[in-house]
Amino acid sequence: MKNFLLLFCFVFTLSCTEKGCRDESALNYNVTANKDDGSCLYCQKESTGLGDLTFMMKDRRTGSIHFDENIAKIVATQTDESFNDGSCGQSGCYVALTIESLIAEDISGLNFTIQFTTPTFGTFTQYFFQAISVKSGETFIWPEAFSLPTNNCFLIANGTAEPNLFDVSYL
Amino acid sequence: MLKSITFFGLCFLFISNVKAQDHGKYSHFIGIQANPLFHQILSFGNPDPVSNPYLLRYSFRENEKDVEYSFGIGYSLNTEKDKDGLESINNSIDTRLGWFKVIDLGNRLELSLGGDLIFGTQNIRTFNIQAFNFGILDSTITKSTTSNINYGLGPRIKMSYSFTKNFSIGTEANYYFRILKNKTNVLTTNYQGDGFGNITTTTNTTNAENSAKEFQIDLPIALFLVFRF
Repeated sequence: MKNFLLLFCFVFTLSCTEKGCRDESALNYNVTANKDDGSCLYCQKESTGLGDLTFMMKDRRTGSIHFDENIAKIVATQTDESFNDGSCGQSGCYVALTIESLIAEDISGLNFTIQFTTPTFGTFTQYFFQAISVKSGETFIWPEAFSLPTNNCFLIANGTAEPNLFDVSYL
Repeated sequence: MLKSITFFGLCFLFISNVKAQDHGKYSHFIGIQANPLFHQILSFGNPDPVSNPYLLRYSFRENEKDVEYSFGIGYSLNTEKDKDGLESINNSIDTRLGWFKVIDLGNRLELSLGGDLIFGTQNIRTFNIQAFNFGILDSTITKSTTSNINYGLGPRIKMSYSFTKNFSIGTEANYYFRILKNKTNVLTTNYQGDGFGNITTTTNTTNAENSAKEFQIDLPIALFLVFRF
């Protein structure tokens, strides 16, 4: 009887071994695996700073209470981001904007474009339409970084940026 | 000719005298499922599908108490590869452990009543490559693994007919309650080129789990050739 049980347990153990990744947070988690074989893949992001570009946004709308004044300082920070797997994110060069209000009032309903010009790529215009609010004297980080329309990272730090303000409200 | 010899051989076994009580204190039995063999010998037309997965069984009997301990096992392996590059490996193993009370129904016939604990696993793996590289690489490798486990218990009734002191034929019916657990993993890896020499690898994993319960009856279709020693 003892040998019977031993044989049964041996078969039971032998038939249940499935190797794979057992970490649920891994990209290749395998629910059928009952033994981890060290094959788990995780999202890895490498980010390299490519410099930044600081420029002013001027209100050129006639009749505005801040006509021809620099109403905000914008810092465009460029990074080269690469992911080890496509499901973790899109690799490429991204530009993040921070906007610092230079006037006494809060700024809301910003609607503007920025035309970037670099020696190697030429010009590129990025549109920003979002009813955001920048509090007086504070810095606002634009919610989404944007990528440049090319597979090559051209450095905006070596070029210029020309903002063009369409609409804004001062509160 | 072979069929005739086999037929006469079987007839001889039927008419020969058997004394089942000639065994000692303990007996061992090894049985093998013989439906394909009978089908080959007797050519009864298309064979009935045999759902009994236990191809081999071993029993240990305490002759004085007429109590028998039984172990059964069945293993199957099926590999396929088609022209589209799909490979699949399907292997399953079924085991059972049982206890029986043996009842003599005459000189040659005996009935065993008892029950089994059953355990089985099935593993199905598939592997597929779809490769395209017409200027820009776009290839996908898909691996899937399905793991099924079942376990349960239920009553079994066995009947055997002894041709000789050491050789008998038997069949069995059972009614097993099973808990089935199924796990499936599909891992897809895509390699996409951008035309500039960069390749992006994208991994996608899908996992699923489910379970079920069932009662299954196996009719006495499986025939076992049993050797006693």
